[in-house]
Amino acid sequence: MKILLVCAAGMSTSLVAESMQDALSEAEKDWVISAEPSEQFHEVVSEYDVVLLGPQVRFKKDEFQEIAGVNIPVAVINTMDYGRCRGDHILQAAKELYKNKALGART
Amino acid sequence: MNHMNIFEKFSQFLELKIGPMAASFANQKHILAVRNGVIAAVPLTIVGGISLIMAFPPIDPTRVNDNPNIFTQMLLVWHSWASANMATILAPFNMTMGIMALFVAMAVGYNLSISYKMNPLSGAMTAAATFLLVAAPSQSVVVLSKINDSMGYPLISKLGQDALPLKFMDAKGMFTAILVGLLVVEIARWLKKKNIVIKMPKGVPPAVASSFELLIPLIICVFGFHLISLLCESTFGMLIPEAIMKSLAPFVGAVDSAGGTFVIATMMNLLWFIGLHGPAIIGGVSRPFLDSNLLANASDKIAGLPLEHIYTTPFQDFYMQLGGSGATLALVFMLLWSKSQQLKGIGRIGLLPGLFNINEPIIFGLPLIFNPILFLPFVFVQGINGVIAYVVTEMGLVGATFVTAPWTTPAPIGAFLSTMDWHAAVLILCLIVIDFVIYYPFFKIYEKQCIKQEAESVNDVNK
Repeated sequence: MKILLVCAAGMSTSLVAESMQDALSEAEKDWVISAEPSEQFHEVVSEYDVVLLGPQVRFKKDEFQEIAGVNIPVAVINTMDYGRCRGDHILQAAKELYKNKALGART
Repeated sequence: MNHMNIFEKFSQFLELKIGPMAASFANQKHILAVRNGVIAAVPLTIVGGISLIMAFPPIDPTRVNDNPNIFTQMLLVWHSWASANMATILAPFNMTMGIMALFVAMAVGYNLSISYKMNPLSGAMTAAATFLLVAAPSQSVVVLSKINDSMGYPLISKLGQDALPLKFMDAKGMFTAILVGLLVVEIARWLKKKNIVIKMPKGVPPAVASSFELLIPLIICVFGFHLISLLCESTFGMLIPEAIMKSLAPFVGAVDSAGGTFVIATMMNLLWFIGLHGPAIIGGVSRPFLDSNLLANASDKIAGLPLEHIYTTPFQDFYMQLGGSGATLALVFMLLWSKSQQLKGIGRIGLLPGLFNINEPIIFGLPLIFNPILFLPFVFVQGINGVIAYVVTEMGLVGATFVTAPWTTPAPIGAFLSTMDWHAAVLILCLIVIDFVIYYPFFKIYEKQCIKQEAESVNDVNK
């Protein structure tokens, strides 16, 4: 799976990306988790499966979901998980987002 | 009526009324294009800044005593090397920061085109051509070093060559560049909407067809703006950028003041308080002013004039957002030394990013958002830093900023590099102490609460 994290400058989400990498299991080691600033979003989004936004740019969600299209779900990271860099929680959220999307596609 | 009740109402008001307003403001296409356009040009200011740092070593030879130590001697050698090679050292500056407005026009046109799903390269090219036409119409000039007293006019006039004057391509052209970048794309969009385009018959390769698509907007923008520019020149006796700078002068003055630093900081941090990225939202309007102030200072520095502005982008990055929005670096140290395990943990996560002015772990982890106890320092300390640093700079105790250092540079180093004055680093240390004193009583109340909660949860487990 490829996960894109977005915040204003891509700085604080890169901290989160790192802690998510650490939470990956052996079988998931080839997953891509990267952080980008919001102005890069439209250029890179098509390469990813799910998008997670830093809570401070949550006002971008609707705009980004429109750019991403129906196949790439966009969600906002829980503020506490974000602040405390709980990579495992956020990774779980990304997996659920991906799973729900797959379910949504089937029904 | 209790105190918390009022505060809760205020928080709700911020979240439910101001939040959505800020969000739609930040998502407004033109504001967004300006913000992203100005930010896209930042690497150029950093490259230009390297030239400036080389050109202006932190030493004043007139103030050196008779027996300089080895360090001062090295600085003196650097100073004399820089003075002798000034033009060469500053060439990269001239072609980056010195013509910043050109890049801003391109970047704004590019970004607005993207948000309208139009060809961004066309937008950028039209903006660049139009901007050059109104801000730097070419002139015939003669290079001074090629002429001497014995030459007569006919000989000199033969040496004439066409040149673009740089005068309005720096800070003085910044707002014109933004305006041109937005207008040319709006014109192109309007033409497209009215279906005024050159249509190629079927079978013409798409690349050829799209190059013709650019043609009509380009013709209308270039000749239209040329006409307006000529009218402006003949009516007011000045070019458009000069007229725009004159009319914006009151706003520039209002932003660049101690009060300006405080008001902008407070607005940004009220947004952060409800968890929104304040600088990303307010920056669409404040950033062009701060960047143009910095460019103007760089030009003054090169011209040997006193620096005109104080509130610039690096001023905000290092003195005000000291350790991140809300000037939280001092708070991070308190967290590290806290008796609460939870706070200590957050301090550990926040220390390294904080040294590089990133503090989302503190803002969302402590948290500072919606935290009534830490509300006052979080929202106002950054503005207090702004006022103090502004006054200190105005008094001449610390040099004004004229170089862009990346905002993630640790604050004492960043402040030094932006001013090339070591007093700036001392000012940062003083501000950390002041911030510490302001945050401390609020932090103590919050810490007490956290320790109590921790004790209670341990008791719950033991039950």
